[in-house]
Amino acid sequence: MNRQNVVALTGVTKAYGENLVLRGVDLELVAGEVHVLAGANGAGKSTLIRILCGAEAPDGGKLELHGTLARFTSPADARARGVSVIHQELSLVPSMSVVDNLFLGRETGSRGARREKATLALADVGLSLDVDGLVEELPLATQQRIEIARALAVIGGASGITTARALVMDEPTSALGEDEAKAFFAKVGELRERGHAVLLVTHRLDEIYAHADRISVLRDGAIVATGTPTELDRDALVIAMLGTSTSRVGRVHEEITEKKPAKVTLDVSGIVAFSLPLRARRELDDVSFRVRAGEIFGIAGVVGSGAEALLPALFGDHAGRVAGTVRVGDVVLRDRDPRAAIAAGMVFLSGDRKRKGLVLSLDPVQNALLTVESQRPLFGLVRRADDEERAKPALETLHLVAQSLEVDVAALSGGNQQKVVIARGMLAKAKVLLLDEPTRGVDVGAKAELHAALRELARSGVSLVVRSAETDDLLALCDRIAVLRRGVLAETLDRSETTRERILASSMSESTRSAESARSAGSAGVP
Amino acid sequence: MQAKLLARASSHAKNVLHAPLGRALAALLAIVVLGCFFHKEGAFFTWQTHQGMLREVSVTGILACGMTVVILTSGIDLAVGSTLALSAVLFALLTMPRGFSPVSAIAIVLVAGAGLGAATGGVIARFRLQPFIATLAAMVFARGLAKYVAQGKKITPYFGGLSHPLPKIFDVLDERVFDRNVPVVTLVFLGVVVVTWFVLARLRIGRFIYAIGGNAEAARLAGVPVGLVTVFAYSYSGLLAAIAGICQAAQETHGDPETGLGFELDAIAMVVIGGTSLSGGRGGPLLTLLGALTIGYLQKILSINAFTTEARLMMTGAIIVGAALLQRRRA
Repeated sequence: MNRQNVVALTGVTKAYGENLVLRGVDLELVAGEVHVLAGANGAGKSTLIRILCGAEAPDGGKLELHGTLARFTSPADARARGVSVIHQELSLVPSMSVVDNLFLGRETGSRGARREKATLALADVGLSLDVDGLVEELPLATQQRIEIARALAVIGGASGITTARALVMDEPTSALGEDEAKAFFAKVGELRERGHAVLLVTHRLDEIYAHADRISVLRDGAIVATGTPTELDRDALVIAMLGTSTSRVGRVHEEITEKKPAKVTLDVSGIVAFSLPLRARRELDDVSFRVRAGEIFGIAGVVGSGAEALLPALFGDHAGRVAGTVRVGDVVLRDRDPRAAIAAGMVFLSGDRKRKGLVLSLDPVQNALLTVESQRPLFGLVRRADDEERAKPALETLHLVAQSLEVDVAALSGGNQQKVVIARGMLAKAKVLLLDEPTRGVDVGAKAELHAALRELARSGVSLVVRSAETDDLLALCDRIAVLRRGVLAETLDRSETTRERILASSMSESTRSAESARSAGSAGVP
Repeated sequence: MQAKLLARASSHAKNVLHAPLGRALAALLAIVVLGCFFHKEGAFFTWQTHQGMLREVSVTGILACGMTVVILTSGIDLAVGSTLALSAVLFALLTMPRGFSPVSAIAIVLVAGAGLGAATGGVIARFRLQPFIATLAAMVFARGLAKYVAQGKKITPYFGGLSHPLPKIFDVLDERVFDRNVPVVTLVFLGVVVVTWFVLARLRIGRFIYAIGGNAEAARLAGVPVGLVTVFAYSYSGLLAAIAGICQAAQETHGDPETGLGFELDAIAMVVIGGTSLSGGRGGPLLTLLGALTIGYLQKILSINAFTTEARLMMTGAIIVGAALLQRRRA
């Protein structure tokens, strides 16, 4: 089969002010090929994607579509000409219904027809839900799948509006559990077979080597390596992404020292969380566990298992009603109120960093200090120099990359924003730190740094509770891992007895197995 | 090396123009240059003109400082104009017919203004009512209360058929100091700018005001006492409206329940022209000071050139749009 370019970039440059983000990028998206774009945070991937999808015009170089010179005037224009994008950050309108989001900007046909097409498009990604429901009432992972459905709908023909020839995916699986990711890539494989060109941006090495036909590495605004997965193996890829300094790549599977039994700092018992009143359902059902000082406790579970709801429910950020008791140190938390939780020593870092984790209009220093400062007198004097002095150690430990400490965090790359969130947790002097997706959208090097910082935090006696959709993350970090299944804490696995497959099997095992174990537990109780 | 230094210097100059403060200065400068062209036989260059501008801009400027604090939390305070009227009436009533000493009268008026603001802020924080609606209600309520207190009349030294001498405090506030060069009211305004700057830049609560305006949800989850800070912002605005009301009464030598109509909009215009973002989280009182001066000069230029009120209103509208466009953050 001859290689047919769908989109080709030649010598594309882009600068923001004096900051040269892309310095001559060549990239080809070939029909029937999955092309992976890899690169560390801040390498220029987002800018490149914005150019590909018409959100931004290049300063120099050319863009060819099916061999002819093209210039996209807007994302809608790019889309109409067959280039569609799935963004890493959700671009859904929370206050609108699912069907309205799917057809946003291209409202065609009657509402009934649209609802029908929407249902089909959602079924295409394995979702069956009320298309008239509001997006904001759905969990983040479901929202991401709707986003995928929206882009796929153009291509897949389920709603048959236009036929996109090229699909750009910016970390499409970052909010998905493993089985959803698998289903998603099955879909991607289908698209490849049908002859579409796919550009996939991802930080997950496993995904890259499982699905790429071709890999290009972007570093400091230029393509530094390109090749097939066999030509560019894992080591070569990581080195290409990070440049020569491989020192930043820590060993992920570091030896974890045996810990003596320490004091229990977090005691959770009988947590029941209901979803929003409209369709009240038990998202969490009688969840109990204890975490000791210095321990890293993982929470695993597929989408819908209640894993995403657990940390917000403990902290007081759950929309529905929550029952059960949470004890932090010697304090029993009566109200589900963030301030009370923080006063007792429990801090929550949301995985939804733009909406819940950061104040984008403040600089890294102010963001990092927000939680510790919130416990001090409102009318106390503050000094910029003191603030910087206090925040710097944490930001430096995490190797924050920023033009200056006075720039808004909005200007930082996703990975560096995440570092600021983690720094806030490090500076909060918490007894218990609840971390939701602490390495979401973060590249390999930064991930190692974050892991090291979190382990160091645990060594100093802080209890960490980590929820992640990436099993490898949990395995690299946690002493014990609890697996949630249908709102119930199914089992707690010790680090020594845990493997990737074991967790996967546990979180995905069918109800028959849990029914079985419940039966055996029941019979064991009978003398 | 030299080229690099030059490039850095020029980019620095560009940054200054792109920074909000630089743009606010540019807008002010543009208006002053306009005045130099349309100086009306040199009238623009006389000290009286500038002094008059300062006097006219001060009362609304005080309101604008409180408005800045509220807008930074991504709120709005529509009640400042009628809180000013209520305070003016209350102050006149207490000092003249009731014969309170100036100090106790001022204290009572300030507590009333701050209290009204705190109540509004409390409703916003507790019941999550939109600031626009809550302060609209407070605006109507305070206007009604002002008329009730004044029994629908102006409170003058002859209120209630009696004759009281105009208390000395009225003259003191309407005085000009430094060889009769600077109005006392302007000093009050500048003092308010400095205090507001101090609260926002040097007190912890100032940080929280910016944090809430930037992302209230993230601030709440980080532990910031969002409710308390919100109540503070509105009561601070109410306090400044009370100060402005006292100044207004002194300038008018009576307490008029109809005074200050539409002042809230002038105050908002000053804040916006200064460059504080209406969506909250960015800006500050120094910008508002520049915004106040810009509007003050604009009005002055239009009035010395003898434009009719109608023309002045229309041109002010047009120029506000222009200035706001100039202030817009570039992507």
